[in-house]
Parts: sequence; C-alpha cells; structure tokens
Amino acid sequence: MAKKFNRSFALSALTLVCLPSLSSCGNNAKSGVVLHVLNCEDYIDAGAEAEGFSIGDSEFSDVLTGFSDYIKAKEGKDVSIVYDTFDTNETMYSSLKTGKTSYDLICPSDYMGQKMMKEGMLQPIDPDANVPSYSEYVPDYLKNVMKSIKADVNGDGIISDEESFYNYSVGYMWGTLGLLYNPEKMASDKGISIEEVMADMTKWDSAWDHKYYSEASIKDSMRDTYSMGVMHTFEEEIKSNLASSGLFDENYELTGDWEEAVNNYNPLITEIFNRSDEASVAKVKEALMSLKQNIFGFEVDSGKEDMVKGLIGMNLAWSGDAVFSMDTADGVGRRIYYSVPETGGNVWFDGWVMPKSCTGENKEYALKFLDFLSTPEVAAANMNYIGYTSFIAGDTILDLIRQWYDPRTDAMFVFQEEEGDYDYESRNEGMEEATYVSPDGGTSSWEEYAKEGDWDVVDLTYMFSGTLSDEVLEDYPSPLGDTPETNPYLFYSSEDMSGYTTFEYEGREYKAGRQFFAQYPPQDIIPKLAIMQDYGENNKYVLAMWQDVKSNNLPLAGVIVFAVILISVAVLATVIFVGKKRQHAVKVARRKGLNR
Amino acid sequence: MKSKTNANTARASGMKRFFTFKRKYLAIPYFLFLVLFVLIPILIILVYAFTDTAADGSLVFSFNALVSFFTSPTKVNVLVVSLFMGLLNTIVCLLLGYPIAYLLADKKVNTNYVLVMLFVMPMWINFVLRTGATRDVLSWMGIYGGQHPYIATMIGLVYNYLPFTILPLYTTMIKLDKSQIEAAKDLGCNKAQTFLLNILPQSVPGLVSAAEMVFMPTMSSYVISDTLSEGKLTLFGNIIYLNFSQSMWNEGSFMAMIMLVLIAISMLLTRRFRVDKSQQRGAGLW
Repeated sequence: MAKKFNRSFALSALTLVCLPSLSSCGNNAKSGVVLHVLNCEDYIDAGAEAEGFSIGDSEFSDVLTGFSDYIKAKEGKDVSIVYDTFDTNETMYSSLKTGKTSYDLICPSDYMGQKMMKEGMLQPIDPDANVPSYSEYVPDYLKNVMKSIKADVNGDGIISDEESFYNYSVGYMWGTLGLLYNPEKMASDKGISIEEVMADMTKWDSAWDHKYYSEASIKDSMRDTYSMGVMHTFEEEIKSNLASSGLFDENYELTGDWEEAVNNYNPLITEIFNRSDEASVAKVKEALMSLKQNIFGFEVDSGKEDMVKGLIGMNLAWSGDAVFSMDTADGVGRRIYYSVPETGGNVWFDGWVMPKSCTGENKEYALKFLDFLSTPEVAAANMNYIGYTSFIAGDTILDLIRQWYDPRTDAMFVFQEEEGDYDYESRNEGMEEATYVSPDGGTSSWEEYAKEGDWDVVDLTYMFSGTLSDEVLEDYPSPLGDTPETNPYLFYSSEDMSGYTTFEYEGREYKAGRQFFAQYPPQDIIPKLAIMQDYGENNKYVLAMWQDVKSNNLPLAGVIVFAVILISVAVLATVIFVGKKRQHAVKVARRKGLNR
Repeated sequence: MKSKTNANTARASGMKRFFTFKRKYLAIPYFLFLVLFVLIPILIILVYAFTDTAADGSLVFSFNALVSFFTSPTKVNVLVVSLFMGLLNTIVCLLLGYPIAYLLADKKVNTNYVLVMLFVMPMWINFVLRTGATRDVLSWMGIYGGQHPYIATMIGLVYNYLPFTILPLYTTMIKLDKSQIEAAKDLGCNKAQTFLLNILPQSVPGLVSAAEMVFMPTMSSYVISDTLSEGKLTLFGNIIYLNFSQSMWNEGSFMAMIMLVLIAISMLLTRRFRVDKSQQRGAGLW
C-alpha cells in the first residue's frame, strides 16, 4: 500500500490549505440545522490529517465540513455537525444512560447497537426507503448479515422482519478478528522454520501451544478474547460440522457451493460462536486460564506497536488494526502477516444508529448525512483514512482496491513512470501499449510480465456483485469469466502488492495473507465467519468468567511474605505497647521512690 | 482633617452593615468544591453500593452488591492481592527511602538542595509516560511482565512511589532534634541504640505520612500493574473499573466503598502518631 501513503501526503498538504473552512462552520450553527454525531475515535476522514475527496467537480476537504458544503451547494441550507467521539462502546453506553446530551447519530459496534435496539433506545431508519446510496452500494452479503440480527423490539412476542438490525442501522465499517504474526521473529526465537510458524498460524490452537510460549498478546477485552476461547474450546465440534457438511475438504477449504455454505453451514458456526450459557462459559474459562499462562500478555492498545517493534510475535487483532500494523511494519522493513484460522472466526461491523430523540429537521438531515457517508467517494475517503473496510462497494471502491492491491497497477507505474489516471479502462490502454523494462534492462510485453508474476486470483464476488455500474461491466468481455481480465469480481494479488504468499509445509500448500486479505477476506472463507451477538442476560456469566481469568491467586512466596509481614507488624506493635507500659511503670515507681 | 476621617469611618461602617470580610470566607470556594466533587460523589457511591436497579429502572434498597462481593472468591482474592502489593510496596519504599532521606538530610553529606530535587524529579513527569518507559527498560533487561507479573509490577510501583516516601521522610529528618541525638550518644548509647531509641522514634511522623502516601494509592492504582504485568495482574482498581465499564454500578460502587472504608481505617490507625508528635515536624506536608 505504498501508493496509499504517497497519495495521503499530497492530499494532507491540500487539507492544510482548506483548513480555514473548518473554523467557518461554527458560524452557521445558529441559523441552520445542527447535527450531533457520536463516533469512535479516529473513525472518520476529518481533523488535521484528513485527506479530502471530490464528488463530480466539487472538492471537499473532509467528510464533516464536506457535508455542510455539499448540502449548502445543493439546497442552500445551513447544516453543521457537532462531532464527538468515544473510546469504548461500554463508556458510550454508560454516558448515554446517564448523560443529558442527546445525539442524532451514533456509531456503536454490532453487539452494542443490538443491545440498544433491544432496549428500545433506537428508532428505525429503513435504509431502503431513506438512504438510497446505502441501499444501492451495499452488497447483499452484508445486508443479509445485518438482517440476521433480530430482536423483539416492540415486545409483542413476535419477531418481524421490521425488527431486524438492518432496519435500525446503517453499516459503516466491517472486518474480521484474526491473528497478526511475525513469522521471522517467532522462527528465530524458537529455532523452527518460518514455514512451520506460518502453517501453525492457520490454527487458533497455536496460541495455546507451549511452542509459542510468551509470543502472543491478546486483547484485554472481554468479548474478543472470549470469542477466541470459544473457537478453541469447541474446535472439535466445529471441525466435525465442517466435515459433515460435505462442503469443505480435509483442509477446511470450501469446495462446495458458496450460497449453500452461507445458508447451511454458517448458522452452525454462528450458534457455536454465540454460546454464552453457564456451562459453555465454564469450559471457555478453563481454556482462557491456560491461555493466560502461555501468552506474553493482555493488551489494550499496545499490541500494534509491539508487533511493529518486534517485541511480540503474535497478536489477536482486528483486521483494520492489522492493516495499520502491516503498513507501519513494512515501513521499517519488518514483514508481518494476518490470518483468520482455517476453522473460521469472527466477522464484526460498526453501524450508525439513530436514537429516538432525533426528530424533525434533524432526522431529515441525519438521514442525508447517512446517505452522504454511503456515497462511494466519501466511503473511499473514509477507508483511505481509517484503514478499515467500508460497507460500500461500487466502482469507486473497486478502483481504490485495484490501486492498492492489483499488481497490474504496480506494473502500470513501472510502464508509465508517473501516476496516471487510475480507472480500469485507461490502465488497460496504458498496459497494452507499454513495454515492461525489468531491472536487468531486458524488455518484455505486458502478457509476459503478467506470467512472470505468478499471481493469485482472489474472488470478491460477495462484495461487488450487484454494485458495479453497467459502464464498468461493459469493459469486461465476458463478465463471469474466470480471470480478472474477463470478470470484474476477480482480482489479481501478488506478494509485492500486499497480497498473498504461497508456501509449502509438510506436503501441503498454504497461502498467507497480508493487507489485501485483512481488508477483503476472499469469498471462500466468508461462510466460516460468524457475528458475535449481544450476550443479553448471559453477560453476567461472561463478566464473572472474565474477572476470574484476569485475577490471580497470591503465589506461595507471596503468602509467606504476607504472613511474615503481618506477624512482624503484630510483634512490633506488642513490643512497643509492652515497652510503653513498662516505661510508664518504671516512671511511676521512680516517682514513688522520690516521694518517699 | 478630623471630619474627613469621620466620614471615612461612617462609610466603612455603612458597608459593614452589608458585608464584613472575615478570614473564614476564604474557605468558601474550597468548601463548595469539596461538597460538589468529594462529598456528593461519595454519597452517590454509598447510595449505589446499597441499592439495586429494579425492573422499571428505579433504585431499591438491597444488599445484593455486598452479598455478591463477599460470596465471590475472585473479588475477595483481588482485594487480598491488592493489600499484599500495597503492604509490600510500602515496606520496600520505606526501607529504600529511609536511608536516602537520612543521608539527604545530613548537612555533612548533602550540602545542596539540588540533590533532593534530583531524587524527587521523577514525580514531575507524567506517570503514564514513565510507566511506558519502565516497561521498555524492563523488557530490555529481560524481565517480561507476562512472565513475571509480580516482580515487574513491584519494580514499577517502587519506582513510582519512592519519591513520595523520600520527600516526607526528608522533611522530618531535616528537623530532627540534633541535640537530643548528641545527648543520647553522650549518655552512652551505641550507634544502634541511638538509632532505635532516638532517631527512629523522632522520625515516626515522617514514616507514617510516607506510608499513607504509598499504601492506599498503590491499592487503587491500575495503570502501573496493567502496563507492567501485561494485564496479568489485577489490582482492586482494575476490577472496580471493569464493573463500572460493564454497567455493574452497584457492584462497582460497593467495591469503591470498601476502598473508602480501608482509607478510613488506615487514617484512624495512624492518627495517634499524627496528633502526638507531628505538630511541628513537617509531617503534615502531605
């Protein structure tokens, strides 16, 4: 993703020029609509490092002032945004419950949004009717994920389709939870081959393996670490489900029909993944207790930095953080990878919700803001800034991914030696005419260059089908072919462009993923990923479990020291007390003697 | 001349009717602060500690938080571990800080106040930053918090609280009654006796306020243990935070109340020393 950084520098210079526009938004506040928006920290393309974007001919410096300008230009209405941030979902929830501030839009994580929906704090958004861009550019897969989360909101005992989370939330960013790892470090620490390490990282078990003692740090966060424990505890059951479904081969890779796997296998993994009854929690507790003995530690935010520094070799990470770590590590010449183990794992998302307090004109413009956020240009700017993956697909995002990860784009840079227009058509034109000059001075045509590359083909049908424009589709000779030249949903990936690395270990071929994998997991693993829902009433079991896992008994040495301290304090106190009494007695006796 | 003075006095007495400045009025801002940010929060803690949220969201009196605390071996265990860490940290800090303070207060050894400043200087840097740096130094030395959570945390705690022991001990030591010490020597005390029977009793107020400065803050601190033990050592502060962050306010408040009770007990235990001897010894510094 080196390109990404070049671009951001140029654009941040541009932002500096545009900065005065930030301060002007305060003036509008009195006359127009003021939207109160609450989002996670560093989770939007705004602030000093915003990169900006353009829609059509208009340039915008960042998403927040961009929205005001956009509405002003379109309708002549003054709308300004008061933007606040929170650090964790739990603190956000507490402050909503106690605080006097009301917000028009909030962006919680999946489970917290679900909890707020269940508790009746939210009003329906109905994106199909009110947020047209969202409805248009979000792929069916993600819509179905949202629709699968339901709750009896109105309390009539029937869960209707209107009571699905899709109706209450506009998805923002999504991703996976997986293992971020540094094979070189672990191999040299433990004296094993790099291939062995990389093969082990396709299993959740490796974190428990004494072979990797004190290498991993995991999240100091109840839900994420619990989900890792679940994948370990119920591994045998998950594996037998995978085998008996008949859709996966002996390496748990999808061989059957994708739709069938999503419809039939995914509910099985989702059920296991969401177990939070007392008995399951007790089993997971055992697993996490032993995990605690084997790991380097629990981390809140230091994991990314520790990975980049090479202090730890393995880290339980969210995909977007993984992208950040890999980008940063690339900058210091350290190669780290990201994997979602072969038995599957967690897929999560953050989505905008609208509290009941948002009404009238505020509601009208809050919906327009959601529509604005769902415009591919804005989504691309946000993705570029945050590093997480947007819910939005479509042409603009397609081009963005091709810029970042398609080795053909890299080749084009070599051909043209300067940044050109990135869109698919001009790239193809450029490449057809150009000649590749290899480092040793030889020249070759585009086709020869492509063959030398040994590139993988990555299938992202689930993400892009139904969101691309006819114009783009027309560029492809047979839109459902089996190469990226013929099928817009297929992508090339190469190791050089943060794609996949292929390696062999014990006679089996593996693929290890990097940034591309973290941002857009390939089609095949999608059926193995499950949403972790709100624990509801069971939250108390999980919390008690987590307290048990986090606390420790006093070690024997500690007990002895403690006892010695207490006894010596007691002895000292008695000695002093007795001494004073004696002194007093002596004084009294002396005085009596004098009197006599 | 005389009439002017009278006029002034008259004006002053006229004002006096409305407002007479008294020195105690200076305390009003602090008193308001105290009520708003200390007393009311403590009352809220007490209310939450002995109530529970009913189904309709209202608060009802209950001992649920109390029962859940004392029936949970984990929570009691965390309290014991925290007490242990607090006690050990206090003792180590006093053992290390006492001789240093004694030397610093000795005019023959230390002729310059700058040296004292150097010992106390770590206090000037934010302790979160310092703890981050300590983590790096420890891992460079090969002491990984995840493998030795108790040792790493203890090193961090001692490093952080040592200045807080040195300063009160120093201010006490500098006012030691030198003539008394000389008298003890003249009257035949050997070095050990001079120390045990004279210097040590004289410095008790400093010891007490140093211990107070270390013991309770250690128990409630959690940044140091979290960072240096890599999250593997949980002190009482962590578990209170965890309960609040999971919206378990009643349980969290009850544990916060236990902290308050412990503070009160330690104040009562040490009050004797304060009243007896500390009046002019500079021990009231903290």
